Amino acid sequence: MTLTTPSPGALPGRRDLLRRIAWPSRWTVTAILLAAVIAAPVAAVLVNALRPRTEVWQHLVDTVLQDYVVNSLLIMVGVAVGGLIVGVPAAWFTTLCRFPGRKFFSWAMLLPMAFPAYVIAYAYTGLLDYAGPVQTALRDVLGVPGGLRWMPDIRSLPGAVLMLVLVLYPYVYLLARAAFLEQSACVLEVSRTLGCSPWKGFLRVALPLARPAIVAGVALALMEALNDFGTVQYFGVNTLATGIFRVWRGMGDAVAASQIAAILLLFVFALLALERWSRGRRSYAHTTSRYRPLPRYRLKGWRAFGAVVGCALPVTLGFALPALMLLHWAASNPEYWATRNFLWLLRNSFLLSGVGAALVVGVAILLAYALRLHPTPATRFAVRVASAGYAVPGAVLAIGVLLPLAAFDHAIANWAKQHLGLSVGLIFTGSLAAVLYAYLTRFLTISFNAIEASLGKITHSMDFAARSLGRSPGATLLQVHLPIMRGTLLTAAILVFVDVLKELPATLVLRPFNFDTLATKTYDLASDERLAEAAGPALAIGLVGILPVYLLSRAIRGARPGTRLGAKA
Amino acid sequence: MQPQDALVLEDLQHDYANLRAVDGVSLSIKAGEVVCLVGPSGCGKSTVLRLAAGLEPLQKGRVVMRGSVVGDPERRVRVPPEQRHIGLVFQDFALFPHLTVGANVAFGVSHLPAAARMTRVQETLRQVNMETYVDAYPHALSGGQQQRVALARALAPEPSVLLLDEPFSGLDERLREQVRDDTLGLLRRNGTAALLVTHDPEEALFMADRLYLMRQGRIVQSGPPQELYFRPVDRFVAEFFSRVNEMQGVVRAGWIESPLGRLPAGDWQEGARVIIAFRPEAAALLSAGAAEDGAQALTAIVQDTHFLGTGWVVHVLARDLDGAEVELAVRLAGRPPQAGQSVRVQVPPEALFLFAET
Repeated sequence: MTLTTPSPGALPGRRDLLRRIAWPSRWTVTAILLAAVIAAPVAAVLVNALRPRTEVWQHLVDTVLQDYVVNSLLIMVGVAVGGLIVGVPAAWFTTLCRFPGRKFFSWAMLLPMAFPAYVIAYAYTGLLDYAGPVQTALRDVLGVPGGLRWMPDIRSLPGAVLMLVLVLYPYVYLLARAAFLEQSACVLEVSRTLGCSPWKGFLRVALPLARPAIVAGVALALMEALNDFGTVQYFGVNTLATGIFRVWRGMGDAVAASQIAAILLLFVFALLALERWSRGRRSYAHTTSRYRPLPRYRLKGWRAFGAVVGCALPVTLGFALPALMLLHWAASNPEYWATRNFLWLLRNSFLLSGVGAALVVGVAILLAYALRLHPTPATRFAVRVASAGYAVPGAVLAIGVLLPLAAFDHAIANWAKQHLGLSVGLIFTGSLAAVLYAYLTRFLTISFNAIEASLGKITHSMDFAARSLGRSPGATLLQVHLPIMRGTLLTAAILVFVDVLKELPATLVLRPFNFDTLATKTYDLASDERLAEAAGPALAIGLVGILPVYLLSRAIRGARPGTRLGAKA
Repeated sequence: MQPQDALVLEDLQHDYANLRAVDGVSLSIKAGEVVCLVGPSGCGKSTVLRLAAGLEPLQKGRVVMRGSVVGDPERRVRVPPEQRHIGLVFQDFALFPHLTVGANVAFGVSHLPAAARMTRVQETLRQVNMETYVDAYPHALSGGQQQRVALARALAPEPSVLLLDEPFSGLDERLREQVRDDTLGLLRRNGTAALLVTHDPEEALFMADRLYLMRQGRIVQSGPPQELYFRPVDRFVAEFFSRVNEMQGVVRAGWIESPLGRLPAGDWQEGARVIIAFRPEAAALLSAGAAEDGAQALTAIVQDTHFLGTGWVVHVLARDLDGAEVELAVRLAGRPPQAGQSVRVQVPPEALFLFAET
């Protein structure tokens, strides 16, 4: 037979065949374009930072820049030390010891993640100020009239560190806990037979084995600490993040602001490198594939008491106390939040978070699937670039998104004026699209990693089966992969949803005029010292923030290899 | 090439990085024929299947299905797998876990109207005796049942050719024979052309109308099972299907001298060293005294005997041409001699394979 006499039948004709040449595939092209778009804000910051230095920059160097850097460094040191002191022992107690309340604490330790740092900062300010319950009680007890001068001011750098430690230690706790759980009981028992006491076994075996995971946890906590804007701004501590806004908004110098942003990015890149490096070393913790239930060491007497305090204190300070303060405010001032305005805030926040979650998860699916279909070097590179945006502080993203969008808008406006004679104004700047763009860059990685891992568990023969049964790659994604992954997709969407809801700096800068969310309203009210009024939206943020805590606590219960808790056969 | 050929592969070549996985492979499958592509793991047979299915972009060669070219890089023809009208069955069955058995089978016939689709699904499931499991989910099925559903799913759209990649390897030994038997029966009844890739020589012999044996990306020999078994072209082919006893031979004065006696030299050059090989079941053991009318035989000592159920394997120790000791395996149906006994090993000349020493 030859090509000139194609036989009729179920197979497509020859002309049809000749058309079916696609290179590079649409998926690859889409992935590369998306990656370019997602990488643009960071690139914009870096490009701007390389532009000639302005007078403002020189002024900054002469005056406040050193403060920004030193304060940021101090906060990082404080959060690292605090996170280690709180997170690691708690992880050790709840995985390898027995004491009253162990089961409760193993998930309750995550509760402080529900609140963003700026929310508990407001709560503590109200709690500790002159008219607050603490000082009032102390005055009553001590019978001292007037202010208590010896009370340290919470609105200070140590105060900011405390707030950040209280909400960020769960990162260290989570990763340390996972590492302890992965360790084989056999390894620990061998250390016991070799003459290590449980305490020595912890120091000499368990801790060194868990070190890479702990380092990764600290790196994550520090990235969040660098991202913080609300707390340090409210406490009047000048860091690189607040510096970006001061210079950009206050002095109107975008180039100098980009230069500060670039310094902040340097810090973040260092942390990213640290995290990646420690992740690479984590494999050495896996020395055996045999697992048995962990033999938990029973704590008695003052040790058990110490463990309870060590776990209860961070949960109380990081969650219970601020939550009670906010509840008290909200309950005593229902007129502040039982309003139509509050419903409008809820609607705005849920809308933005919902659309953001859908966008981020959708893009993550596209990228992960493109990589699965065509794991070419180009796709790989594109995906790596796209997922490097996590950890970029919101303040950096705000300027990184606004600069290119503004340039783009001006270009469109000029073009429209010249060619159409129309005045179109600024299309993207100050629109929801700009906010969503920032979310996409910042929150893509979390959902991408989850989706890629989930996709990796689906065997390729599943794809081949669907293809041979007449489905295109796109139809295969819709009819096979997505339904199989729906659990993961939901989890990823919830995580992004909550992250968006809590996000402050980028939303603050990029949102449309007069578009308030729970986070921006909380910030605005607190900035005006209307703390009691801020309680409503702040509590709403915390309530939604419980969702990921619940998801994580459910996940860690079934996380130990070799156990089947919560896992389907 | 016949127009009725279900699948023809012409001179396929495929490289992974700097490894040539497939090197000049050509094969054809007639309508209704079951062809096995067999070889040790890593020989490239699965790549050939993936090239035929269009799952891997073709680098060189041509794939023709029912007379239409579906893959030809030179003419830039690349029909995607979903338009090739093929059925695929995998080692892990790859049933869609989120769909019921019925929905899995219906997946490939979604173009049919609902009523016709239902009929086809039920019909196909009946063929594999799974019609009562329409509403079950795959995870509730045993391995054998999953395999049958996978087969039904692949057959439901009535593909031009069914491609099976180690379809029985995921099953345990006892189940495997039964499922193999059922599958073959089903393919025969439907007259489905099939290409079955396997590393299991027994499976290939059992299933194939014709088989192709691959090694290191090349096809070494092809033909009906008996031809490969009884007339292997080289040592590799002979040893692939069962253990082979090997002894030395040398061509002298027009005869091949060997421990098994003199054999006609045929085309062998004077002085050439020859490997004389035979399968364990080709030999007979005679008591030391007996010698049958001039047949080739050599003396050996029984080492040990092993009962296999269907017969016995006897290991005997003999002397090779150069005087070195060589162990031979002989399969017997009846009672074996005692260990330590002296016996004579006799092999009919037509059961001897002669290979050049490499």
